[in-house]
Amino acid sequence: MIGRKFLGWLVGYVRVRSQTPFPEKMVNILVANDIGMWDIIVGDGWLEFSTDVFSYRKSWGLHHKTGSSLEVLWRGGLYIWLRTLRRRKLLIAGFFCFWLLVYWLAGFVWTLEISGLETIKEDEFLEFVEEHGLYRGSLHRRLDFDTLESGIIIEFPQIAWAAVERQGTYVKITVVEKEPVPKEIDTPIDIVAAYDGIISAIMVLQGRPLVEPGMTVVVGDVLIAGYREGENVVHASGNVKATVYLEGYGECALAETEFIPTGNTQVQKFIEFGERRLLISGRKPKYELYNTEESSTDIRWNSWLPVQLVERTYTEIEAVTTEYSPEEARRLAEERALISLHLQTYTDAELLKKEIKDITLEHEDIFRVKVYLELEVNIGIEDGHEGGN
Amino acid sequence: MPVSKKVKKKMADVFEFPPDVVMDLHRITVIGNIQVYVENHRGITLYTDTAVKISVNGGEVVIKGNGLRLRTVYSDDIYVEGTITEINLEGLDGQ
Repeated sequence: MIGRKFLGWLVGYVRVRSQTPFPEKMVNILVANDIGMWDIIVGDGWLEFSTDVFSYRKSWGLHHKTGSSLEVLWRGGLYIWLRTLRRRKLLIAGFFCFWLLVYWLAGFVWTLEISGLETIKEDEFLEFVEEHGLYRGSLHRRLDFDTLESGIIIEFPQIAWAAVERQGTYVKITVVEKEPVPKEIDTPIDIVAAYDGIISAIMVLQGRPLVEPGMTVVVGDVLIAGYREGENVVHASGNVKATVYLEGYGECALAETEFIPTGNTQVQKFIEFGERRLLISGRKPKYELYNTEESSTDIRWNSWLPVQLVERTYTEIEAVTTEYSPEEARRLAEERALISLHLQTYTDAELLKKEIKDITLEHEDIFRVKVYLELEVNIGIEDGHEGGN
Repeated sequence: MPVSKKVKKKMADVFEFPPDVVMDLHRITVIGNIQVYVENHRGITLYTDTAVKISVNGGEVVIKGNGLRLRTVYSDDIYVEGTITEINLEGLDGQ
C-alpha cells in the first residue's frame, strides 16, 4: 500500500474534492474502475482524496458520467515538481549557481591557525607561508601541503617538525620547535646543599670547600665553590654528607569514608553565550552523590563572539566506609606519617635514628602519629652560577 | 451454505489451500487498536469518523472507533486508521 502511495508521489499526485451526494458510492465506483486513493475524507455531500495523475484522468471521466463535479485542490509529487521547475528556469539556474558558489567559496582558506611557535615570530612565519601561497583567502586546492611542510623545516632550522592540516576551509599549521641547545658552560659550577642539615663529612675533589663538619646549612648554601683560574674554569666536585632531621605526621580514623566512582557517568552539553548557558543535550542525573567536571571548547568558526561549547560530566560516586581496629589505625597512621616524608627523594640515605611519637588526644577516634627521622644524606648537588675566584 | 461453497471448502481442507483464495474470502489484519487492513473487499457502504462499513463477500465488516480515517482505498484492499474499539462481522453465514 505504501509502495503504491510512493509510486503516486513519484509520478505525481493530485488532491481533489468531489461534490457528490453519495460519497461512499463514489468511492466504490472509483475503486471498481481501479482508481487507487489515499487520505480519503468524506463530508456532507463531498469527498476529498489524493490519487496519482493517471488515476485522476480516469476519475475525471467517471465524475463527468455520474454528474459530479471535481475540483483540484493541489498537485504534488516529484513529476509535478519537476514539470513546475521546467517552467522556472531561473530557479534551476539559481539552484546550480548556489551550489557552484558554495563549491567556489569552499575552495578558499577562511581560517588559518598556527600553533607551537615559541621563539619564531608569528609575523615572520606568516610572511613565509604567504610567500608559498597559504594565507587567509588563498585557494587551498592549488596548495601542496607536503612541500609547504618541508619548506617550513628548511626555512626555519629551529623547527623540528611541522604539519599542515586542512579541514574544509580551516587550515592549521602545527610546529614543534627544537629544544634549545644548552649553553656552553664557561662559568664555574658550585656544589650546593639540596637539604637543610648539619655537615657530617666533606670530601673535596675539585674546588674550594666553604663548609666543615659540624656546620649547619640550609637549602641552596654553597658547600664547595668552583672558581676561575686565568682562562681555565674549575668546577666544584666532591661529596658532602650531612645529618638531616625529618618530621612527618600521619593520622587514621577508626572509621574512614572514601568516595569511590561507580563507573556511571552522564554528560550534559551547553552552549555558553558570555555568562548565559543554553542546554542542548543531556540532563542532570538522578545520582545521589556525584562529582562534576567541566570542559569548554571554542566553536571553531567563531573567533570573535564569546560563544563556547561546554561539556559537563557527572560522575557518580558512592561512599564506602572502612572500619579499623585501634591497632590497625595506629599502624596506618604511622605508615602515612612515613609516606608524608617522601623518603624516596633521599637517595643513598642512611637511617641513623627513628622515633615514633603517638600524639593521639584522649577520647578521640583519630590516631595521630609523628615520626622523627635522623638520616645521613649526601646533600651536595651541582648548581651553575658565578662562583668565587 | 450453497453446494458450490461446500465443495470449495472441502477442496481447501483436503489440499490445504488458503481458504481466502479458494473461497474468495476477505482477510482482516488488525495492528494493535490503531490500524485495520481489509483485503478482498467489495467496496465501502458507510464512512464516518466513528464507523466504517466495508462490504465483503456475503456480508459486511463493521469497524467502530474514534477518529477513523480511510488511509488508502485500492481495488483489492482498504486501510483504516484511528482508535479502533470494535470490529464486527455482519451478515456472514457459517463459511
